[in-house]
Amino acid sequence: MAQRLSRRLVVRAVVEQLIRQPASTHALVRSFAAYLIETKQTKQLDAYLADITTALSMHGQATATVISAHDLDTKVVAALKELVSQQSGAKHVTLEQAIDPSLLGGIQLSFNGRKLDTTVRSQLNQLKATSAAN
Amino acid sequence: MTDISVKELSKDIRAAIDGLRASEGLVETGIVTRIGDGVAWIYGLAGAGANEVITIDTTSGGTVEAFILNLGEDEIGAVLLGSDQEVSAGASVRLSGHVLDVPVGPELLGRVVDPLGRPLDGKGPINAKLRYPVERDAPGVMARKSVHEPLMSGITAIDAIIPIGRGQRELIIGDRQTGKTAIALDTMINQGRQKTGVVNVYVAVGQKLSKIARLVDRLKEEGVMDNSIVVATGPADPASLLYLAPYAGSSMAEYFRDHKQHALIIYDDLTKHATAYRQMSLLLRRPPGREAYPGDVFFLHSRLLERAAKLNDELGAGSLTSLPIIETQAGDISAYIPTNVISITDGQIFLETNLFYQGIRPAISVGLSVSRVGGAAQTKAVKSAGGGLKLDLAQFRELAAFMQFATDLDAETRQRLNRGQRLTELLKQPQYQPMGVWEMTAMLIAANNGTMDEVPVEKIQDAKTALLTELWHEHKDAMRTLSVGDKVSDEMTKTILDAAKKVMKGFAA
Repeated sequence: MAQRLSRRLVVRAVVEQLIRQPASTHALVRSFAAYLIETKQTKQLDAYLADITTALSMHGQATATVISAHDLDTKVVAALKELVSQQSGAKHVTLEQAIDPSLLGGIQLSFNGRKLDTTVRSQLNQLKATSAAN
Repeated sequence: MTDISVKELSKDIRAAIDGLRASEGLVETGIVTRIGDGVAWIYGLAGAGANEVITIDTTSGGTVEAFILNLGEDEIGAVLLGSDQEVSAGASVRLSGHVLDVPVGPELLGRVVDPLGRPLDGKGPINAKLRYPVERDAPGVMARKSVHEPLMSGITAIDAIIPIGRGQRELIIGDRQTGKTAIALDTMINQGRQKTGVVNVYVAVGQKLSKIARLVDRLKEEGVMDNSIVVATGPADPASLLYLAPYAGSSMAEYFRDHKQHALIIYDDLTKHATAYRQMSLLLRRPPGREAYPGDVFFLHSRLLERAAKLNDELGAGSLTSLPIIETQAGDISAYIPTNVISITDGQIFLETNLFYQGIRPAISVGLSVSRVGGAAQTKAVKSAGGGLKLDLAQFRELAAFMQFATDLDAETRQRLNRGQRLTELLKQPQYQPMGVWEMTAMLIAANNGTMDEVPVEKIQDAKTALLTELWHEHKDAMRTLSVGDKVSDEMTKTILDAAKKVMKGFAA
């Protein structure tokens, strides 16, 4: 059975491989999947992927997710990319967009374990919590 | 030296300011991966610090606070400060950027609060101007001064034999129902009666709420509550709150210590505190040691009790006296937690079940109780009057086994047994009746000089009351002088002995 290593070490090895040999991604994916099955960590895939995203941003390739109630226009998308680039130091920013009408308005931007929440829903929740506390 | 361009520097600083402004509202977030038994395991939060407070979103749209205890390589272990019922796996977690702190200051006096400083007495919010972190460093060597002022408990057996000084840590240890809390409560009441100005902080760790309510009522009745703070946790509270209570109470008391005042803190009790910490540690998967307690259970109590101190004159000469309480099982003082706390404190008052049921209350075992620093702080009057008391009682205990052969014993042994019986009777003291310095001193002078030797044992308490009444009515000014606590003059001794001889005549067999 494969020895279980800390997630940090595994992520570092995966990212180094991705950067050094981008052509052999297929083989890397297969061996990584095998490691997860062998060490019974398949449920932690999301955590691994988030860590890989963060590690990649340190190598200049950031991925951010933005959720909004409505479609964002190109100016806002460009501004968000600029913000992510400034904060993470990455030159290339990939922005993944999703729509969730329940946010009512505003955006929720997540990258590298950080979050910017300017949605109307969260502000209403805060208001509710404050009035309940008083 | 390289040239420094202020223009360049200013440009860099402006750019840094702009960068920081842009990051406003950008918070570090993590995700709850597992939750249960008040412990949450969290993924993310790379910038988290030990003991940092975090906020977890609940399913109902609210939040619950937790604090970080385990900083692992891949995950963080945090203990919730509220219910875990509404926290689910996948919940978002945010860093607060600060460690746990509590409100401190005179605004807390007269209040009953929880370990986070939230009011429990329904008297409205506490508008404290200051907050102290829950975990604070103990004062260093140079900040301290040796313990030299007495902290009068009002209990003769303690003030005469095991004196407590301001800044001392004196353990109260004994089985259940032996009067541990009663001693602590009497000491608090005495601070009010003698108007010592000492602020009382009572920390209830997992105590029955009915017991806390009774205690608060009593403090109110005695008029001491206005100068007291009660930090209350009940058996139904999460282990995290039980763990925090002594530290929070200590921070509240330290405010007075650091502001040139004197404070007394009672931890009732540290056995339950250690149990709560054991529960948290086991749930956090920390390796169990002896009796399943974690390896740092000694540090848990040593860092808490080290915060008791007598500060030097430059720092205002304030003090914080600690009276931790430990509950033993079947009188076993050599168990893990009792030995730990005995070794940390500056002495212990050991209460015995046997004595309690023999009617000797407070049930203090004079042989096993000790005060390592209090002697230097003892009131001179009580010290001179009760000097030989411990020795007399020790000799009495050794000879007590021969009491049934009393007629065959020599006169000296009979005399010692006689005196010992009367002294034991004299040291009995009902609850809620702490005594003043003059009462203790006069009583001890009378007993040590043999004026009570002819009084039957069953009449000793009445004789004592009669003597004190006589002295107060006939020699009020002299007794007021005696209350100051200075060494007793020969003239004063004569006054007391004359009164004692007169009173005892009426009680002699």
